[in-house]
Amino acid sequence: MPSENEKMENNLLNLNKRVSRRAALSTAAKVGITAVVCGVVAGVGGYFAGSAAAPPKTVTKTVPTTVTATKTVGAATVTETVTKTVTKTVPTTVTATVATTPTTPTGKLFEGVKITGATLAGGPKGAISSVLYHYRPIFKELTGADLDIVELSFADLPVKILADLTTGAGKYDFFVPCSNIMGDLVAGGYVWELDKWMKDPRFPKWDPDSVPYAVAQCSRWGGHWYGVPWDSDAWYLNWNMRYMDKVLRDKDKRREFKDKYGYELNPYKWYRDRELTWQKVRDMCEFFTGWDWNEDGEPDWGMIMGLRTGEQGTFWWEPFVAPFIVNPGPMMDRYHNILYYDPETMDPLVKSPGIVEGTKLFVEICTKFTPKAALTFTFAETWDYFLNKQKAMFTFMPPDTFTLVGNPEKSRMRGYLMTTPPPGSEVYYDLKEKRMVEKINLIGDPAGCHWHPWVSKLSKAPEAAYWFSAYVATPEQHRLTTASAYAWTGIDPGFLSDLLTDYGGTATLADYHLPGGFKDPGYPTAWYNEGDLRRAHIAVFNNWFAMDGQYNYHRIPGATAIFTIIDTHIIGEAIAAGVPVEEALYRCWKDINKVIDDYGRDKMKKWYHDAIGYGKPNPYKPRPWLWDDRVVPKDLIFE
Amino acid sequence: MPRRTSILKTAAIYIGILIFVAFFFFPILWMIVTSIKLPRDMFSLGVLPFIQFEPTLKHWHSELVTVGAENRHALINSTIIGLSSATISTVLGILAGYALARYEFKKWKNIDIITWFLSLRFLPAISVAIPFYILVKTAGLLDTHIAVIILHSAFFLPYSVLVLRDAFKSLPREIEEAAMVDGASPSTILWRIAVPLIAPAIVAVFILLFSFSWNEFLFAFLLTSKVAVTMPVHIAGSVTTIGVLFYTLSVRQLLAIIPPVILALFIQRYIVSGLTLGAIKG
Amino acid sequence: MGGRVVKPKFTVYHLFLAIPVLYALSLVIFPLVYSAAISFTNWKLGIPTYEFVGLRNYIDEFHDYRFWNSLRVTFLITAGAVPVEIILGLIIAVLMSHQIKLRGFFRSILLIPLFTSPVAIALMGEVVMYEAGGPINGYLKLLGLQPISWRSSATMAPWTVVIWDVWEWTPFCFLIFLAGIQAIPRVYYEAAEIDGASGFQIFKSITLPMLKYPLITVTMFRLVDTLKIFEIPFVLMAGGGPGIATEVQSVYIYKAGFRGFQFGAASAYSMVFLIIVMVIMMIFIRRVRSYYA
Repeated sequence: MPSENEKMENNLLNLNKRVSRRAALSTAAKVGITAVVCGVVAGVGGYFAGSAAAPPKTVTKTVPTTVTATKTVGAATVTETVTKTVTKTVPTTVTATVATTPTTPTGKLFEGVKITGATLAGGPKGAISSVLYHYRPIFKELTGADLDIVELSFADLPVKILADLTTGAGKYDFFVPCSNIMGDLVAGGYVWELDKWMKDPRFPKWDPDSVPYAVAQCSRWGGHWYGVPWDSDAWYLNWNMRYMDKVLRDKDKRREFKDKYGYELNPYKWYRDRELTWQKVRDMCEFFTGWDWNEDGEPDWGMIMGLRTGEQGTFWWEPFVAPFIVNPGPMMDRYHNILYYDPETMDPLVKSPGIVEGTKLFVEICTKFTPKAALTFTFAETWDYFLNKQKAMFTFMPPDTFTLVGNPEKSRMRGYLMTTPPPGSEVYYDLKEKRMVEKINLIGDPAGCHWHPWVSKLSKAPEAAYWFSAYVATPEQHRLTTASAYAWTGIDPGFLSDLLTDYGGTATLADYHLPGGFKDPGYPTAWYNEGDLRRAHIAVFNNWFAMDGQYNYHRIPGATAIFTIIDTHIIGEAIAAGVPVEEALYRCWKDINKVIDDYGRDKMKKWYHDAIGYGKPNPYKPRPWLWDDRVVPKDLIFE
Repeated sequence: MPRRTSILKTAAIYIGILIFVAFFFFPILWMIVTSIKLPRDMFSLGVLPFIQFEPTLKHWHSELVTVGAENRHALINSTIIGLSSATISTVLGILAGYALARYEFKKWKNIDIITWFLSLRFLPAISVAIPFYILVKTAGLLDTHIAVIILHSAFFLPYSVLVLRDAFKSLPREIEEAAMVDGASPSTILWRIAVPLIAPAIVAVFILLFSFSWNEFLFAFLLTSKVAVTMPVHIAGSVTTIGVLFYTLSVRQLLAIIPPVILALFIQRYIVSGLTLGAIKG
Repeated sequence: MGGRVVKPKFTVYHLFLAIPVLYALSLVIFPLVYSAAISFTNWKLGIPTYEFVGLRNYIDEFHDYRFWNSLRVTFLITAGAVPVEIILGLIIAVLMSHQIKLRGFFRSILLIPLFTSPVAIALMGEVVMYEAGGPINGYLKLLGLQPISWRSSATMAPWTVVIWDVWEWTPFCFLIFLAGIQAIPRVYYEAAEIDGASGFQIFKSITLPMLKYPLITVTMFRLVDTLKIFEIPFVLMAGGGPGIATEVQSVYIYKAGFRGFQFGAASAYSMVFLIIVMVIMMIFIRRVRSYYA
């Protein structure tokens, strides 16, 4: 006689079995239904997605455009004018322009070719990726080739690209990475030299002379072009004119500043007269920290930067300290135009007195006059803090600031954005004399990623890839990507041709949908405000063409590793953890030396020499400083 | 048959559960709210639409229509890979779990074999990432579903082996021994008797394995680029150089959560069966 | 009970075990060997040639202050997160094992974190803990409390990681424990009730012992997984920040490999990490061996 327990267990067993089988079947059915439902939903969504990819409504206009190329011969400016008739197809929502480019008489140049381009993830409207998405249909139309776009996140872009190249996978025909890995790409022999295609008339013509020296150095090596320049990245200083001007008009505040620092608060004049330095900015940051100048009820801050470790922190530090150590000069020799290494010994200059001085000031501003929350900020939060919340008087950011300022969804500062090139320094370290010199030193900065394409040697269709890259870089297209209607392509203006005609370029106010005369039709008719735009262009010109000196982008192999080293020690330790500056820089010096020795000091020396053009004349010659009286309030320049 | 519980006790239970639910649900709630906020309000404090901020459906529209194809693609891939790898792992786990629960191995002690399985989890994914990349590339399986499925099913195998072993261990041996006396083979006993009895645990393990595969990032990221892209890789694409596009992220994340939650809703009730059956007995 | 005289050498059980073992083994052997091999070289991503450097990677690591920091941080976070997850998981499982209304609904919500990918969790944490105006600090301010520096303070940051790890993994513990509790035959509870035992005594003498195996299993998994934690410190804390306050071992290795491009060194670091994990787990398993037979 089965015991009570056994009977119960048998019952359990039977019930379990019955329920289980039924349950199992029912479960399988339900899982199947779930899958089908998902599939149907996805299918419907996909259908809509397909129909949404149809071309937007367009309007066709024929517009004669005068393309002005400005060349500087000696001190004189010679203007060449070429008139082209351009047919513009202007959609009501999206700007798409088809320019007339010669195609072969037999038909499309790359009919049936398929290429793959890897770029920064961001979707059809995101930074950089939007350029590929935008030009994909145009590329197809003009050359018959198909473009597959692969999006990769920022940190993984260099890794996946290098993995692809070193393992021979060759999945990407061209890629648009951060220029940090330029050294690895060129020295490793992974990318094509472009000279032969640049001379070939089948390909779109872009103008190497219009590209600023420092930007060109991100694509050139040993005198040859390897990348097609697109983005002219730099870090610019911005301040909030709405509240700065208020303070400037307040006699009591101005007296307070003068009493505290011993000189007049005069930012516009300093900029105009090439006297804007970090020391003065530091005083201003201190002055604006701790009281409520933006009427939101809470004390505000002087500066805001994106100081999150593991992001692009090094790009804040580098242009900040450059004026403390870069000695401008006519030759690329041991003591001039150098930022990173002593060319004879490959000794990192990172703990030399100039950089120590600069870093100390940098850390001071970042810890005392910047809110602590900035340690968690990347770009988005920083822009939000500055443009939207307006809780910091200054910021030091890439040029996307002046494309964001006109967007009412992200900014409340439209019309009040001041932009200047990076401030210089009152003192700098003379490398030859080995002492600090008291002279104002203004150095242009190429900080930032300089996103632009490289053609992979593993590609089976390199010419199509080059064609695409070159097309975007032609003066006409480049101007449009830097001034597109939705304003955020991530390609920053820097070519001479990008600027307004008033400042030597080929862009007109009409391109920006602006009526002129400083009238602001507002968003969405115009993304930009004319004042903001002009100030931005002036700063762009001055940064690339008129500063005392330029330094070369850090682009030897291993640059990415060194970028991370600096970020870890200076942003991470000196700023976030309070490690003393000398110690942090010493750790940088040690780690950078290790990287150099790992690659081989002599090899690195040779690469460095090739990269900067050691021993050759400095191609950069400063031009006259650009200034436009109309863009700042005249009464706020105190002579 | 409901237990007679005092009002106080019931209230305490409800309050406890509600606190936990709030803790776990709050970030999700925030994602939902963020997905309908304007970019300008991305960092604002409001929770109630219309009252504290102006809601917008444009992010959902963008994700479902403009990039709908990519989202759909990633979701389908994740589903295929998740279901397949979970199935493989569960079946393998049943086999190994039963063997380890019912048989004393001679060559190596059971506890050591179990430890070996556990040790599969010791490997940091980073260290095997590059060798796997090379292995998969050599096999010509880059950017295929099968590569990810095999890797996932192998790497999450320890979970199914250990949990199912525990479940088998908790079964009273008498039923199986009775069947053995009747002449049933171990295989029959396993699949006809033991497995149905631990159905709740199998369901739990399946959910677990599915969710681990669904959420796995590193291998999926390294080994796929377009065809077999999974949802986490796709989500990571909302981290751009201009900062995290939180509105994009929140919509994608919610899209990513929905299929597993539906799946869980359907099958998680079967974890309960043990309890209600005992109650029916009366 | 038996009358078998000869035990066959290879039973069906051996077959049952062999299939999964071979499956896993074949996939794990190659990377392990490869990784070990590279760890003795100075291979860098992007440079096709490399040299054998013997133990130098290992020696350098022991001199690296960041290695020791990362060990400390990893242990801290593990010690903080694992007990909390297990205890909370247990509590929730017990609560949810009662017959209450909307139980299915609550259970579904409680399982959602399991289906949320760690990358997205970290990013959610970014918004929720945004210090200059996110919801948590915002509500703290409304209540008149000081906003907390979740991510910008080097002392608070590891605890923030703990909080999110708890959020992510407590449902896992809860799920396993719930399945375990459901498997306990009702009769035991009824018998205890008839005997007049209190809730707490029932828990201590019935539930807990019956959950012996799940408890050990869950603890082992959480221990080894939390030691390897990656996405939350990496994404939420931006690569182990602020500074290196949350640079756990996985992040340390990742940075050496994928940011510094030093794959040789990174492989050495992961071998060291593997050994450390093995030692810890061995110690743990030795302790629970007797319970586990």
